[in-house]
Amino acid sequence: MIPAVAYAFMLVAAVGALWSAVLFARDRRLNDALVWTLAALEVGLLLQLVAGSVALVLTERDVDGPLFIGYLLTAVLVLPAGVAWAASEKTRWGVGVLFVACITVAALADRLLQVWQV
Amino acid sequence: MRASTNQGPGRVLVAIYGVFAVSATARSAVQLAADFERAPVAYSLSALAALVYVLATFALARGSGAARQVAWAAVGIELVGVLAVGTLSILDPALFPDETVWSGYGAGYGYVPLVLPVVGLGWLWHTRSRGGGTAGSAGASHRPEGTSPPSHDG
Repeated sequence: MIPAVAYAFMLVAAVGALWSAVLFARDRRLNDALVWTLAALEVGLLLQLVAGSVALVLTERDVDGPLFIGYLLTAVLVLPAGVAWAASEKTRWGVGVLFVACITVAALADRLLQVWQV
Repeated sequence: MRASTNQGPGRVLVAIYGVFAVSATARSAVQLAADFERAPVAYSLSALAALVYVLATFALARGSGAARQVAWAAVGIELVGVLAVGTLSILDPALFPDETVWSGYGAGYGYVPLVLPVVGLGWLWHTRSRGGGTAGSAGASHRPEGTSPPSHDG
């Protein structure tokens, strides 16, 4: 895991969380631009799953394998689940779900980095 | 008429429960697979916490009929669990050589595990059955209603 990549994930996730918070404050629902941004983040997370799995095989670090793979997989699942759960809500609370999803992705990116840097 | 637990603010509550269901289940699986003998009390409680979060998530997401009663039970056990484990982990740290979600009242998770059951119980109370009540959002009004058993609060 490259720290800069993890920080990039955290930054984009933080932007998503802030964006969701602004939409919530303005009593709006989720919009296409936000969903596309999260889709781009999801593509990054999928690439991370592949790259991270390969890196785990190749590394000589003493990384906790099951834990690391668990975080990689969870990170991939959070946004699709969050968007699906948010999209079927007709009030402002839909973007509240996206806020939670984005914070979760940022927390997972942080944990992944910790687990890798044991 | 009763409001569903999965509408409006309930959406966010279910999402947070979902995050804790996944993380507690994953933590428990890793602990049980690794070495149960190392901390049997902590690992058993981790498994219990995982079960409670999974039950609460699905029950709150379903939000009607029997699911509501399951939600009351799961969230109630969750509150008792976080208070009991939190207190025990401070009084007798030797019982907990490894972390659980509820250790130190959930300090490792920003005390969310302590706040969550309180909010959960409050939400179940807020959306409880009440004759001709107006709880819940307008978006929930066209939801088909099931039979309404009497309120079972407290």
